[in-house]
Amino acid sequence: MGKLSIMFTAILICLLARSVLAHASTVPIGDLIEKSIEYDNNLVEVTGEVIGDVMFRGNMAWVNIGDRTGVIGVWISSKQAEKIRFAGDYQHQGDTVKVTGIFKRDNEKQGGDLSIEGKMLETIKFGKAVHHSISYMKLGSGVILSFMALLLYGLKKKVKIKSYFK
Amino acid sequence: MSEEKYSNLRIVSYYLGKIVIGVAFLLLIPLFTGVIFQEWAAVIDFLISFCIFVIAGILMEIYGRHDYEKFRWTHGLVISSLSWIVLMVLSAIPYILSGHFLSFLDAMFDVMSGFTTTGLGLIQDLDHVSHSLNMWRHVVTFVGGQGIVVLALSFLITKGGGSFQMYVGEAKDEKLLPNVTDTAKAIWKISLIYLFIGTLILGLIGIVIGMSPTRSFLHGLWIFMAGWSTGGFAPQSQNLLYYHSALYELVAIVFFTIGSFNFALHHAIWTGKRREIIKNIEIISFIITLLITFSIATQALMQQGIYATQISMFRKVFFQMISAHTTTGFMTVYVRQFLYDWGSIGVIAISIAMLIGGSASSTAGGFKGIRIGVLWKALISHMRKVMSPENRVFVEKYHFVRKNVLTDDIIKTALLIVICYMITFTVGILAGLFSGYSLVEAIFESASITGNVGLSIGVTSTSMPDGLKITYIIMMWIARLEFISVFALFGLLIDGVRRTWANLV
Repeated sequence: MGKLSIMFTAILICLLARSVLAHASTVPIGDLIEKSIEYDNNLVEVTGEVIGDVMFRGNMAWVNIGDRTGVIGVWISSKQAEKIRFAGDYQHQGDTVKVTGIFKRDNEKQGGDLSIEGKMLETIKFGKAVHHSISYMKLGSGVILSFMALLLYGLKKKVKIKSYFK
Repeated sequence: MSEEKYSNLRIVSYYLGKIVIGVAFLLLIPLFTGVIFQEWAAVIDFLISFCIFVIAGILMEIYGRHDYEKFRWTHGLVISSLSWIVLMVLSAIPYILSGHFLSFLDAMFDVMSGFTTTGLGLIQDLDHVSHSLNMWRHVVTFVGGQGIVVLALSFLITKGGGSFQMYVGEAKDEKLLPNVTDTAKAIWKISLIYLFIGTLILGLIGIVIGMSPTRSFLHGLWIFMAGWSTGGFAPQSQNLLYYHSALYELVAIVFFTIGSFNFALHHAIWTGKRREIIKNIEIISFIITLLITFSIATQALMQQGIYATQISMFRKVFFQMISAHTTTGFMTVYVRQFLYDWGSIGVIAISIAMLIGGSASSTAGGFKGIRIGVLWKALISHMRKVMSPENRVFVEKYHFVRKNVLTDDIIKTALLIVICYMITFTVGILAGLFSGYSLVEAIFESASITGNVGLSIGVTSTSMPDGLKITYIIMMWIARLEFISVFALFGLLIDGVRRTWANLV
């Protein structure tokens, strides 16, 4: 009976926590920055692309997430951060993730960084490699310009040699 | 066209051509970076840009004339100032080809910001930029900090008159060694040695804080380049806030503070005169003004209760203050936090720090510490004279590498340059106000532009009016060259227009 009660209580707490987290308000990152005082210490939810590096630091990690309005750092457990497959850069589209956590205008534990203390990270869409195709017009222009540059260089050398012998 | 005017144009064209070709070879750095990281689309952009540079440079050289006897001060000053404009236009080509800029004007803004080591940017989607484009951005700021003409003198212009005039035209007047070409080479030697050490240290710290080794060393290289040149560019859109590391910030502070020191001071310390660091008027002036502005900003922020702990307060405020005062422009806060959190007093304090700036003949901008020191000493000296018996003689001195007598000429020159800076600053404020920004925003951004700092309160963005972008480009250029060479250029242009008009009429 005792064990059953404990298990039942634990399930109830998890369900409650999930329900609370699920009801966090989704906010554009730009709004968090512009209205930092209003959102300070509130539970928030942001959705965006993981960019740059997932910086593991022991049990925790820094993940920088960007949407169209801004980029913000999320301080989250390494276990949550390990879910991330791709961070965005020139050659990759980063994972799109939804992060729920407490927004801190002045995160005292992190030296005053405006950031989110992440509680939960959920992958909405995995990232992928990005291919940057070569423009044939640019390639052609490059070839033509290279010939022109070589031609001019040769001409300049010829003028210099001629004037030397004058 | 008269023979003399024709000759002037050809002399300027020859040296401009040399400088353009010199900078063209710098494009090989991002080009090879692109090859290493297989960024083929970017490689082609840089190949096209390299060829355009070479063609333009050779044409200018072919048209130009290398004439030692006719080279005058005006030529040197005009070459210095005009080279920055020509290079701004040409260097914007790889930017616009990358697709990360909304217009050619935005691309030119970024280039001028890089060359003048300002550090404000209009680049789009910085977090997805290629390594080669990031390399170019940071090479531009590194070279701009040492001086484009200094680069040309070091490696390309091997003999002939005009070297010193061009060197001075780029707002440098320290002769570390008897020959100005050797001085230019010495400046590069100092910078490259620090580049190696700085990249290594920042690269290792990057690995410790959780970055991959490749990205860590690349970022280390770029952050050092931007820090040493007091440029303030960073490879990610969050600037130094991206790293979330007090250690990274601390090391960056050391490098950008050293970068803001006068090259003559570096040379003095390297040649054994270590006491120079505590006797130098610029260092003393810098420490005093930093402490004053830092105290004012801290007091203002404490009153508003912006930061809950002393550690947060110190870390954020001190970093921003020293970044502003050295005219670096690295940021560990978001742009809008200056407007919403710092308040008017905090903004004024940081604006003063930005205007005062770093040391003369360094990579830093602003009025320069030596001018503040000189003017302060002049004021104290004048007050002492007024309060003393008439027949008493005063000789005021100041220490800058050696003991120097404070003469009326030195005071007058310092005052004139500070007045020019104040006029530029005022024009910037008015331009901001007329563009619809608030007084606080206009003051902050104008101070950042005038001092070639790079901190922003949110004015600098792609939505900024084109007129304001052009105004800021001109301000960055004029302030970086400290007016004289730009005045020489305008003087020559006005003279040319007047003569042409006289011939037509």
